[in-house]
Amino acid sequence: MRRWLQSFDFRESPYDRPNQRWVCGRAGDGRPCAAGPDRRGRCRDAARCVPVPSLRARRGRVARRAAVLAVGLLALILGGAGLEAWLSPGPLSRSHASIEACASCHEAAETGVLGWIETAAGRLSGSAPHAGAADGDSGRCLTCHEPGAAPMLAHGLPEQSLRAAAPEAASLAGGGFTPVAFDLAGRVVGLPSGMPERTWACATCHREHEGPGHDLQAMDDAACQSCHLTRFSGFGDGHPEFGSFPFERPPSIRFDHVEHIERHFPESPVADRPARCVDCHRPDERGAGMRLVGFEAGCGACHAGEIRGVSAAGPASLAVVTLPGLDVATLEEQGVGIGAWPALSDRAASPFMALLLSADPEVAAALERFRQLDPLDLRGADEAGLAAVATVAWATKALLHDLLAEGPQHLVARLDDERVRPLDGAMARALVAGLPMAAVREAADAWFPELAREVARHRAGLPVPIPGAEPSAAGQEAEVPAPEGDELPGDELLGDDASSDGGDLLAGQDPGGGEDLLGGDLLSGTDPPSEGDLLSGADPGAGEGDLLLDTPAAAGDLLEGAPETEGDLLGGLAGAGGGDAPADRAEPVVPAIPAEPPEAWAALGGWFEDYFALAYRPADHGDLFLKSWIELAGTLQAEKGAGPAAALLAELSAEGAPGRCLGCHSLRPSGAGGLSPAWQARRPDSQRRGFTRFRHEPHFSPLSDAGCVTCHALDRTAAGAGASDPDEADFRAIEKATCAACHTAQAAGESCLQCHDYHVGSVAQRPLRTPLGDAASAERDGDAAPR
Amino acid sequence: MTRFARRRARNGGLVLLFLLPLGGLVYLQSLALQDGRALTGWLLLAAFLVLALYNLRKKLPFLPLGAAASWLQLHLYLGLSAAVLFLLHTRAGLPEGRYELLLWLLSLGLFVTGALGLLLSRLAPPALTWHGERIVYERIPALRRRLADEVEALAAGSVEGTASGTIAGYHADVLKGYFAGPRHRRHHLVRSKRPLRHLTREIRTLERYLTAEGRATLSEIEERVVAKDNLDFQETWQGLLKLWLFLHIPLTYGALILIPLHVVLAYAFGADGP
Repeated sequence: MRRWLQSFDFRESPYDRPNQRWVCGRAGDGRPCAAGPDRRGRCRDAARCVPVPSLRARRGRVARRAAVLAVGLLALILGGAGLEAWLSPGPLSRSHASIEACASCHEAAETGVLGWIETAAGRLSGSAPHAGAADGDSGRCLTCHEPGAAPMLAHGLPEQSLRAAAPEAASLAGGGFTPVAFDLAGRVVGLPSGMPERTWACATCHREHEGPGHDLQAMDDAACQSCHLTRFSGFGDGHPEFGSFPFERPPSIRFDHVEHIERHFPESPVADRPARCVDCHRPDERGAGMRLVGFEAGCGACHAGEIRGVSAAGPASLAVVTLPGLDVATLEEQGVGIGAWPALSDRAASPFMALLLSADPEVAAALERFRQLDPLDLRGADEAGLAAVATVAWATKALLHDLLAEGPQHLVARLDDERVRPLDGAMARALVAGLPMAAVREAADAWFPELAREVARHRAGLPVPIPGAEPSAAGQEAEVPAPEGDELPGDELLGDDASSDGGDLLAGQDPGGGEDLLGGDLLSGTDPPSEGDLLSGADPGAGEGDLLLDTPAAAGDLLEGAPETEGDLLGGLAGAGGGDAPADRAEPVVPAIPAEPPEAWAALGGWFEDYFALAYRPADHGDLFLKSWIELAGTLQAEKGAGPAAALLAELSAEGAPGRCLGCHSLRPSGAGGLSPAWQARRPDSQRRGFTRFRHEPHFSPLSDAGCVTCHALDRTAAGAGASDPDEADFRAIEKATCAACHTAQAAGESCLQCHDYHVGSVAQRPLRTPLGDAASAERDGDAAPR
Repeated sequence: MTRFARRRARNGGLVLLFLLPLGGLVYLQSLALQDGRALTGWLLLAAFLVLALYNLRKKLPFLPLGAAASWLQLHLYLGLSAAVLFLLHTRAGLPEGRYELLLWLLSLGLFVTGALGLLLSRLAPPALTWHGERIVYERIPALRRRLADEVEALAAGSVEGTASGTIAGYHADVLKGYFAGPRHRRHHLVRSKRPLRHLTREIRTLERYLTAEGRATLSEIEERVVAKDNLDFQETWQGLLKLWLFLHIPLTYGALILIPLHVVLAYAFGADGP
């Protein structure tokens, strides 16, 4: 039976006060007094009790204590020593774990709590730069990191670069389902597409304080598509084709794969010719790029001879310093004073010469005029043309003179004049390639026996007529001023002073002298009428008794080796008879030293003098002389424009040019219009990142028997095949489907960052900048510290 | 559709109308590389303040601030929305920092205790109605005392009337303690009647030792035992309805005090872009 306990009759029902703060102390015992406690918690009944707080009051008390606890905790946190530990939003990633001070990354940490409030209020109102701005916390990231030229802009690229790349990026057509969410986001919140000027905080992508295991570089694929106009839902569904990747840039090393693989290699008799791709291409130490094994291992077996000039048609050497052939007769007839000039030279002024001479603007202008003339037939040349010829002729003589006088560094000094930056020592050494003094002196003596005198007179402003021409009276009578430095004066030991009338010890140009010790004479080779010259070798009159004469008809010469000579001091050939040698003693047979042509003699490379030229023959692959001149010409072309440098570069890059350097090493634009030879095959720079990266090695194992051809299929129709355009790749572009076969979300993955980098260009840690003074003091402190 | 169902559909619809676009907006912000935490953070703070105002509203019943029932509905559905905002704001993850973890725990405690209160408010009324007479919570001690006194009087009277100490002995051994205070709370929480059945079975076993008069006394005692069991049930469940607020409200105070520093830190140290 149910028993009802409560009565709500107002006369019997007690008056409960749950909202009041106090209740009767006896309520818990079930015997509360009728009046209950007052508002202050005092008992109002005769039978005194101790009122207790109501349930509501106790709840309020707990709530207040919780509030006090929270405030106390705040005070403890803000005033305690563990402030940073408490307020840090989490441990740093392993990369940044060594950073202890918040102020290293957060500007606000340099101030106190009030400063934080001020900063927060400023950022909320927009009056203070946001933490993500370049002058905010993101700027502090840059104290250690260098993410490109414009770190706060997308990809760390300058705005101009982004704008330039945008049309190409936009032209990439996706094909799959385009996420409509991006369209919606564009309409609702605005996407950052097409805003290359927008700055980005580092923390937009790099979330710190997520614990040691957090990957700071993790990035959602959607983040890429926020900006990129070509949007798609997955790599296999909508990602654009690769275009010409990885052959969008011409190869550094020109190589016709089709021709080599299909014709040259099968027909080559060389035993160790390449038979597999890896014979020439090997993965680098990181397994990323495929590096060439190098010329010696990969190409040298067949092509080393071409560089030395022994297995290919065409010149094997370069005429560097040349004596340009001139129409001496016309010049003489026109009274153009250029001194002695070999009439037999028909050389052209080499581009090297032109470059060396053009350091002087006057000579450079004369060279321009000179090129318009036929220097071997100057009969139609006007006065200006003849003057230009004379200028070039004297510049040539001066070059040879100064080269002899100052050494090869004189050439370097001339080239330095052409450049904004001085040549460094290694470059300077390579440019002269150990040019031997003997070769220069031999050439100078052969070409211009009167070089010193002529140059001295010319520099003194005196006329120097072509020998044989009628000298002007003034020229005859003028005194040559005292020479400076080590120039050879007329009265000195080896002078060729024309005015001297006796007394020069070794003078050989004295027309009337017959009493010089060696004049006329003993060592001369230019005195036609002289007889009995001791070392003469050019006496057509078959002088008798020349000491070192090698003219066949000479008889009785001291060192003669001709068969019919008689009575020569060292003659000993079979037919020799009589004279001083005993008839009964058999003379040893001394064969004549084979006289190799100079170019053939220099088969191992180096300098030689040959027919009015000082020539250089490249030694082998990587010849420093050729490399340096090609680099110099490429650079100077940018600085000087078309001219001697361009002509030199054209000669060095011509088909069949000695060394064949630019047959394989392509010239690439390098800043301000210059050209730079690609000496090395392109290889990834670990400090420089591109938008796309690929590691070859992980892809080896899944390849089928087709191997490399799975991705790199030869393109027999390409312009590059058959060497019609060696700057074109002769591989077909890689198809996306090849990659998409494995790269799915379920298999090898299809994240954007798997193949693409966000930060491109030079991305590196800032180098340490420890002043040496600090290092020294640290060392001292370390020594002083107890160990 | 009942009125209650209509109200639930309307309020639930409003919450969805608020949350779905908000979730979409946060998602769109993420697609645009914008940090949606500023938006969700400010909305969460606003929600906390409005939710806390409900307690204030209860303390100011004399002000024309709308019906308490409406406030309760607002509190319930805004609390639900705040829970979703909390998940959006924290990206449904556990924070790594101490202070943020403290805030996270406080907020989670708020949502859990709020959900507990909601659950109790849905479970307790039918349970209280089902069990027996609904008693005003504050009157329970007095009624228990009254029942205890009555049972004591009956037990004492049985000694005089029946010259038997059986009932008095049982009172002294069992019933005195039973009526001294609330008993079997855990069983009442799960709405178990096992203790009551056990007690009434014991009482029934005494009947064989009693006369008819004694059995009548015993029957009256049994009625009071049943009434006392209902009191205990009422006190247990009504106590729950009051005690959960001992968690919910202090957590609210704590969170409201700690949140401003979080806002300051987020703006002063947050490194996200402009």
